[in-house]
Amino acid sequence: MSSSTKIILDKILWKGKSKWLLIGAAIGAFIGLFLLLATLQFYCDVQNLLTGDASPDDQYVQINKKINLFNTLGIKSSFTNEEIEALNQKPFIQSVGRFKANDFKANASSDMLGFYTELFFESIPLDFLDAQEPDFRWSEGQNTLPILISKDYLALYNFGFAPSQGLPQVTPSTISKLNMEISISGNGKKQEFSGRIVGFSERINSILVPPDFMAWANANFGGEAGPTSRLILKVDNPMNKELQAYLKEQGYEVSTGRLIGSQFGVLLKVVLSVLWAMGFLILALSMFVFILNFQLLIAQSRPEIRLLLETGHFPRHISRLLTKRFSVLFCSVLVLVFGVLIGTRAWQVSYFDNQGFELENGLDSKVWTIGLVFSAGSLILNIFNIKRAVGLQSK
Amino acid sequence: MIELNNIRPTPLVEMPNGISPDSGIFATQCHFEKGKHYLVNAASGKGKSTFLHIIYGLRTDFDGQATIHGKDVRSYSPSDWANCRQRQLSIVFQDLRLFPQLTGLENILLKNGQTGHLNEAEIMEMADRLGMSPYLNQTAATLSYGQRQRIAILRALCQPFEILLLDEPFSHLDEENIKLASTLIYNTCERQGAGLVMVSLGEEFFFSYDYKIDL
Repeated sequence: MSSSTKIILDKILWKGKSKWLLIGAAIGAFIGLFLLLATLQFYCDVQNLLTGDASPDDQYVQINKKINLFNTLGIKSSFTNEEIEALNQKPFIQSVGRFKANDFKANASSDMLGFYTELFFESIPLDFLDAQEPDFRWSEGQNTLPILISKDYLALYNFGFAPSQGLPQVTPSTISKLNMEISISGNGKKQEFSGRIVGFSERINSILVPPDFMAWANANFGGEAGPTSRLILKVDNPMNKELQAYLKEQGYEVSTGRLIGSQFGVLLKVVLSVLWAMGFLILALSMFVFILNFQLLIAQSRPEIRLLLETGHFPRHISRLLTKRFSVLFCSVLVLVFGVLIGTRAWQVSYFDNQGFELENGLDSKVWTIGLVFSAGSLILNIFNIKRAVGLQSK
Repeated sequence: MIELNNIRPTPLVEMPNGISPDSGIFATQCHFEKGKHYLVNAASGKGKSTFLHIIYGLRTDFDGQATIHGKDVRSYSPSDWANCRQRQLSIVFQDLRLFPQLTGLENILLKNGQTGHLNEAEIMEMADRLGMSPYLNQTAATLSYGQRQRIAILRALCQPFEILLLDEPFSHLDEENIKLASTLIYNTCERQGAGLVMVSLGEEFFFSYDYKIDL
C-alpha cells in the first residue's frame, strides 16, 4: 500500500467520526488499569510489610507468667526447667525458645546523638529470629556488639522520643550506620563495646544481643545463668484451642501485641482484597467500555468498510489499519499507566520511608505480570474482534 | 472466462414471470469471454443489476452455478474476491458507489493505488478526455450526478481487468459526453485486450457488440 493510499484510507475510516468515543475509551481504560494495578501494588506492599520476609510469622507466640504483687515485691516470675520441659512435650508446640535476660548493668550513650541511657538486653536462640542478619554474631574478644531492636522501638523513637527531645528522626538505614558506646558492668568489672544496630525485628519486642554474647557476659559480669522470664513458642496454629486452654490453665500470659497486629493485618488484607476485587471489576468494566467504544467506531465505519471491500480492497489490509490504530491507542494508555504508577511509586516509597516502613523500590513483579498479561489479552481479543467485524462486512 | 449455468436469482424466482422464458442469461447457459463486447438488454426490474452483482460477487442468493476461470464463485474467499476485483473484473455501478467524503481524484487514486496500474500523468490525461480535470479536487458529494458518473468510469479504468462491467453507466450524461466516455472505454478495453459487458435499457451507445443478449 502506498502512503497516499494510506492517507486516503485513514480519511475514510476516521475523519468525521466522533473523537470522544476514542478519548472516552482511552480514559476508561486508563482509570481501570491504573486503579487495578495501584491497588494490587498497595496490596503487595501491605503483605510485605505485615509479614516481612518470614511469612509464617503468625506461628510464633511469646508467653510470660502473669505479673502479680509478689513479683513486684521481688519474687521473680521465671519459668522452671520442668515447666519448660512440659511445654516441649505438648503436640501442638513445635519448639520452645528461652529469652535470656542480662544479669549485669548496661548502658548506652552516643556523643553524636547526645544521649545516655541505661538499658537491658535479651537474647533468644537464633532460629527464632525473623531478621536473619549475617552480622548478628559475636565471639569472644570482639569489640563491636551487634544489636537487633524491635521495629516498634524505632517508631517510638521517631514519633515519641525524637520530636519531644529535639532529636532528628532517623530511617532504618541511617540508624544502622550509627555507632554507640555500650558499657556493661558487674562483679566489680567493666567493659566497653561499640554497639551497632544491625537490624530490626517485627516479631520480638525487645533489645536483642547474640546468645553467645549473653552467655559470656552473664558468666563474667553477672550470676551463673540468667532466669528465663519469657518464652517464645513455635506452634502450628496460635489460635489452636488446646494451646489456648493449656496456656490459660497454667496461668501464662500471651504477649498480645503481635496477635492484635496480626488480627489487624488480616482485617486490612480483607479490606484490600475487597478493594482489589473492585479494582478488577472496574478494570473489567472499563476494558469493556474501551472495546465497545472501539467496536462502535468500527460500526460507524461499516458502510465505508463495506464499500472498500466492494471496490476490491483486501480485508486484511483494512483490519490491519484498524488494528494499528487500536494498538497505538492502547499501548499509549499502557505506557501512561505504568509511567504514572512508577512516578507515584517513587513518591510513595519516600513517604513510607519517612514513616519508618521500608518499601522496595519499583513495582512488584505481580503488578508487571498482571498488567502486561491483561493488556496482551485485551489486545488479542480486540484484534480478533476487528477481524471478525471486517469479515462480517465481506459476506 | 465467466460461465453461468442455470442461474435463477431468488428474488426473480419468487416473482410471477420474473424470469423470462427467452432469457439469454437466467435459467440457461451462457458465457462471457475476454476481448468480446456484450450488450445485455432488458426493461427495468428484470434483474440487470442482479446479474452483474452475481458475477461481481455481491450477492449469493441464487440457484445454479457461476464460475470465473472455472472456479465456482461460491468458493471464493473475501481475499479471492479482492484479487478478482483488482485484476480480473472492473465495474461501474449503477449507483456509482463513490466515497462522498473523498475528492474525485482521491476516489480514483484509491483504486489506482491497489495495483499502481497508471501513473498520475496517465490519470490526468484520462480525466482531461472526459472534461473532468477542473472538478477533480471537489469532494464527490458536491459533484453533479453526471460528473460523479464520469469519476466512477475513470475509477473503473484505473485497474487491470479482463472484463469491464457497465451498469447503465451513461444515464446522466449528454450525447457529447457519452461519445467521449465511450471512446475512452473502448480504447482502454482495446489496449488491455479486455471484454466488456454493457447492461442497458435498450440503448446501444457508440459501441459495436459481438453479442446482444436479452434478459
